[in-house]
Amino acid sequence: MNGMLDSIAAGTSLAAGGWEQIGAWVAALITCAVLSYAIAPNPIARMMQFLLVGVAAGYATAQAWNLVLWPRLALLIQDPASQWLYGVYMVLGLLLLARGIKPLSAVANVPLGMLFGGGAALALGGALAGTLVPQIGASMVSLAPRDYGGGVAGWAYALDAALLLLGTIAALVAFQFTATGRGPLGQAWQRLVSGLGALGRAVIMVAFGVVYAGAMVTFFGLLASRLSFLAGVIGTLMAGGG
Amino acid sequence: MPHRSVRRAEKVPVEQADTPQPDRAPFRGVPQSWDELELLPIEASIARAHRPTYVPPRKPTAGEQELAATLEQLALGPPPLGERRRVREAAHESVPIRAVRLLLSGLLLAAALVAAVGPGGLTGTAAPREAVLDLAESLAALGPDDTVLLAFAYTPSYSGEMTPMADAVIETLAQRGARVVAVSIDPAGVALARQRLARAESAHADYQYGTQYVVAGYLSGYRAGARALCEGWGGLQVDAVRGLPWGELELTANLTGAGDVQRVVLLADDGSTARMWIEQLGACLTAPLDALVTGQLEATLTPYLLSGQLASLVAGGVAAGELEVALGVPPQAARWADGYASLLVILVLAAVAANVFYISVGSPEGAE
Repeated sequence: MNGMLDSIAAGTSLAAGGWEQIGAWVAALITCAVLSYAIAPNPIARMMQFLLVGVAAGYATAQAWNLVLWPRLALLIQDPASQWLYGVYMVLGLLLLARGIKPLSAVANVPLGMLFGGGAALALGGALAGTLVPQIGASMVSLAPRDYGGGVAGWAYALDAALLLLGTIAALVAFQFTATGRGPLGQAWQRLVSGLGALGRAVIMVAFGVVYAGAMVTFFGLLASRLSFLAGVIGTLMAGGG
Repeated sequence: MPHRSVRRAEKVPVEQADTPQPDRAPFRGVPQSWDELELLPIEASIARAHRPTYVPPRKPTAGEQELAATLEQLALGPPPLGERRRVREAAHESVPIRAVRLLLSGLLLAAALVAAVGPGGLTGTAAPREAVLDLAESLAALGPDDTVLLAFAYTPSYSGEMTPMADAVIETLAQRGARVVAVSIDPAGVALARQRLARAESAHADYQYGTQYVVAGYLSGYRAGARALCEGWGGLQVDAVRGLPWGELELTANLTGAGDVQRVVLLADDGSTARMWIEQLGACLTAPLDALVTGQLEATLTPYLLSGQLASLVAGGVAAGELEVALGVPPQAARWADGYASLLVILVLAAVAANVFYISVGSPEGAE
């Protein structure tokens, strides 16, 4: 790893040197170990899963220290008068550790409250401004062919817009569960909601089908890429380049 | 305090509730029907005198016992290195069904092998779709004065599908001399960014770290990290490769923030993460946002493309090969076209066979 970092620091490519070859061999062995799970569950495949989790956690900790904590700590140490705000962040972070000490655990509620409050505000604001409002706006489309230039193309676009609108409404109605209506008007409304709901469920099923097909293509691509990688490593070995 | 209707119900002989009784003096004035009592019909059965029926506890099935054992193991037991052998009931999966399952698995594996080591006869034959062409045109229009923000929001688990797209975009940007600032909200994304950009550096002698590209690093805080890019460079202090302060790198010294970039390219493998980037960045950045995602996210993100929040959407799989064709870069994903064609043939055959079986035999429940 140090060799890799040194090569980067020196401005040379990561690809240079034998590190990549060693990495490729390790990756090939781990790939075989993980794929062996498809034949039968075995301790080696399970160990590789633990390795993945452990390496990911260790790498994340190292990145958090190198890129997030240490640079801020260095700024605080160098110039505490102007960078005092980082001190507040550090103290809040340390307060989180109090969760593990029973008499002091209530203290951790302060940073936790800030975390959850800030996270919820960002999530809510983002969902409203970034999804709900734009998507509602996008579903308000004109159904007039002349707005799309008229002619056959205009009618085709208008039909497309009508299908979009109908599908959206039907999918929303599919989640409406009400008691049976009383009177002729109520029963007519009930029949309309029931019919639209059935159409909406069909629309949702089509959407699920598309998602499932996409997932299948994704996992097929992942398997193909792994097999391609293994074929490459084996080819290198056969050619005597390993 | 008991309910009023219940107290009234206690005074009424149960037998009278169902059959009209002749008028007798002791019962005069007492309501003669449940309607008069204003009780719900269900209360009749509750109020009727009866012996409690003993319902013997149902014996759990073998499957339920197995599930309970698994739950107990998950909740209480340490994770074992060797998984316990699961005993399958032969009755649940007949020999023909197992054979069909094995046949399908074998065919899928064969299709994947065709993609991996096949002749590649269909490589480069896929005609790029409109969204892919849009992205290719946009990238082709970039020059040495333009800066692109590359958001690495995918994990190594999906690198098989994402890496060809990332390489295609980075290769094109390197050919054009466009500058790249790479960020990630995932620590693994930093490593992926370093790896892919270092590959471009090794292929182009004049593509140098610090002047042409910078791995800006890890934005902590998920939503907060992405949102912080709306104000300057957010929480980024030093670059992820040399550990130099932001102002000491030639590329970033003149950039006041993410608002200065000409284009944002998002590489994502997860629907919620992709949505988060669109929601948090789309609200504040004026630069067009392109999304390069895994095939499974196409349906999830298409509404954002139709609403104009995304400038283009390329969803892995076949589209990754199309992107390589449109950009004219060396094929990686495009070489898998044979495999995708084989997969299509297998799926069509399986669908036809399943429907023929269903029509001729009926549903599996009916067959059993």
